[in-house]
Amino acid sequence: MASKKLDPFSKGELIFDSTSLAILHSKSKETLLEFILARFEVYVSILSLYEFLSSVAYYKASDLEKLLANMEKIYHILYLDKRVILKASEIDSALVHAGIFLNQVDLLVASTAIVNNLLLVTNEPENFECIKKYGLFLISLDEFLEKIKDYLGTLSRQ
Amino acid sequence: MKTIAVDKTTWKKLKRLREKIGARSYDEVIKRLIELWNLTELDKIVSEVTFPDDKVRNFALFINDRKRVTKNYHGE
Repeated sequence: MASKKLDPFSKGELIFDSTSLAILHSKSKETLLEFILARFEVYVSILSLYEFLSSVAYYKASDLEKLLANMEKIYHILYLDKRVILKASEIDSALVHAGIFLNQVDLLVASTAIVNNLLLVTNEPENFECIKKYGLFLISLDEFLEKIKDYLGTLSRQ
Repeated sequence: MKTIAVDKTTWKKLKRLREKIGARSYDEVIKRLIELWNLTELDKIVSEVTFPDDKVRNFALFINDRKRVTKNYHGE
């Protein structure tokens, strides 16, 4: 099994799942989000984007087309492709054999992270634990934000 | 390394900027301009795609509730 590098600063390329994406788009985290987008290459699966937009649409919180256009400016959007579908199929089949039935969006987002060699930032790491053995690099949103704050603290002390 | 062509006026401005910011190379000047542009643009866009914290809590709840319809099953 490959060793899991958990340091976002050494990895440099990240992917957010839908709940971490939503949480990072709160006003209180605006400055952190700006820093993250400037410091890292940040990717979002089209499925996570869809889940986020659905939640915004449900609460009629924004003009969806304008929001989508802006999201496309700040994130690299990853669409489902053959590699992702193949990886997700392999993992799903192995998990079902082991009696584990994972949410399919979670599975496809994790597979997108694996085939593109991205560190997955998630607010629900427990949902993805069973996929780590298939090559998923994972960090919880809380741990990720702590590392960012530590880094910014070090910068300001310098 | 790659070569890019700029006109004389732009080159003079880049030269002045390089001296002013104490950059060691034109590569560094251009990198710093790109960083500055990114930060300025990000500042504008990010403020348009962030929401009040209470709304965001509802977004996260909505996403989780939708997932619960096809609940994860880990065999427990």
